[in-house]
Amino acid sequence: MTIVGNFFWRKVPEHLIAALKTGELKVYGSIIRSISTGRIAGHLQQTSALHEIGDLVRGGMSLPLQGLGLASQTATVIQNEQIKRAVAAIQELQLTNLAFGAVGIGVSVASTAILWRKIDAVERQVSSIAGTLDMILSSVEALKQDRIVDDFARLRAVVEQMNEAWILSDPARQWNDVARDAHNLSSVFERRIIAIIDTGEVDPIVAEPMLSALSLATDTRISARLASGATLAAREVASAGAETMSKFAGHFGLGTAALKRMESDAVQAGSLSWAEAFKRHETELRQLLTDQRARVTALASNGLTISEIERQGIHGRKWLEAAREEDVPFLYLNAETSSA
Amino acid sequence: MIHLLNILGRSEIDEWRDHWSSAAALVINDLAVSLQEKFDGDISNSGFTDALVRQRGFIVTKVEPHLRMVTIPVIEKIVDEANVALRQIANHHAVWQERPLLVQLPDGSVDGLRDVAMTAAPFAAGAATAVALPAMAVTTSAAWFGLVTVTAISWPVVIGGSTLAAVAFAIGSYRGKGMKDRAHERLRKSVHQHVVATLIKGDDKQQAILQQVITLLQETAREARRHRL
Repeated sequence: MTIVGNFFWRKVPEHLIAALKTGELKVYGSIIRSISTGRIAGHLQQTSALHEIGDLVRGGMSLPLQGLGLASQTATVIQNEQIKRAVAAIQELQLTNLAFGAVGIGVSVASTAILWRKIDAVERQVSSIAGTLDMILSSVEALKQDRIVDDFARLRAVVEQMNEAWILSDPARQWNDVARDAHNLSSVFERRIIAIIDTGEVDPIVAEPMLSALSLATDTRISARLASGATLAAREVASAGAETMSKFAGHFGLGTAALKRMESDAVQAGSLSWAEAFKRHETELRQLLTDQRARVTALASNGLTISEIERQGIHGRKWLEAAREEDVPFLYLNAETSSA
Repeated sequence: MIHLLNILGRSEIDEWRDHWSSAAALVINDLAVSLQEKFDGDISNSGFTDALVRQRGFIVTKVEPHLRMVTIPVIEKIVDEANVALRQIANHHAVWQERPLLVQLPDGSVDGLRDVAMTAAPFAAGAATAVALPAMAVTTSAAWFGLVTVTAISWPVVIGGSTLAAVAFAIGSYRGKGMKDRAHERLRKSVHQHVVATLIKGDDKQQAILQQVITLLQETAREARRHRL
């Protein structure tokens, strides 16, 4: 078992992997936790290497991870040791495609290029729901399309500055600026989500771009605070962010949204066609809502993990440096305290 | 300080709401399909007079009682099972809460969880109301019956009969071989509309059963979240 920087392990201990396989333990965001007692067994941190692989997958590389057979088959075809290791690690942790999805595990150490592509994806979401948004935009000044475009440009600049700081001789000031700017952007995205909710909108797809943007801004703020050694502030950002995202995520219910979508379908209620159409909407909405909840769990668990590194006296910058430099998919931190 | 348990609990409650909303939609739609088929058979076997003259009476005396008799136990079952699932979530989190916590919990958090377990109560009340309402709702009043509250499901009374009277009058001017078939077809459509309006798709004044169940699930989830789960 290799220990990195005196605090990380490059591999999750075997007894925990065994317990994950039996279902006694489960990964919740960045923590490994007992489902029967609530004990925290350890903490996970996704590395830059896994971010890169995830980006490839999101970019179109097929990498189904739902089952051992499929994953093995894909890994054989891809013939890439790093990807195969990532697949194996994800399977060991009993994760499906979470680590390759929109939600990362641990504090974000993604590169600027990856984050920009995520912002591109969010902007495409805005375009895809332009019709619905237009109706809302017409009555809510805070949601004007040109202002949204400006704010995504600001978000791009912030994530670029976050990563640029790593090559500066004295990055602390820039990280502080990043944290402040990311905070301001988070407030803007929050206001937009509230404005959408206030219109009575029930479909989560309409708020999704702003929720994604809020999540990216919050992650960047946490990274900046942690990198500059402001661990307490980083923890508070994660904690408050989780509360806010949880409130927003809970607003959108599948049933109400699906019924609303059914209104615009030319399908007669009380027919088999209606059931099929409902299931289509349900599947799409369920995925969306699952992603939104995963973001909440990720933020909340990050707060606990940051508490742990603070407790163990680990400097946030060292933590992030290790996650940026190691080529294994995950780093593991043993939990000195036990429950959450 | 963060309360992961609360965050996870809220997500579970949201998932619970979504699961049962979806289940209710599909089950109630299936119910509507099978009821429409059953009533189609009844209409085929009905006499010409029923189809042409006594359409409103057909819905009031044959469709409505059967609709209630079949639907209420189904809604009860959905509500009961959803209730059990919600209790399981609350109990599961209560077990976790009894353990020493990494993070500091505010005073009264355990009490909050006890209260969450009791949020199931409105469901029981809602089910009881739903059971009681059909007997009260045997009416052909032109108004929708019942008040929709967040904790009760009321049986919507769809007044198909009043609109059917006009249909019957129009049919009265027809003569010829297909008249009975057309009358049956119009009655069939009216019965289908009645079933759908009652079970799935009401209007702003009176929500259908499905809409009420989803609203109830939504409100109960909101209440459970409020109790720190």
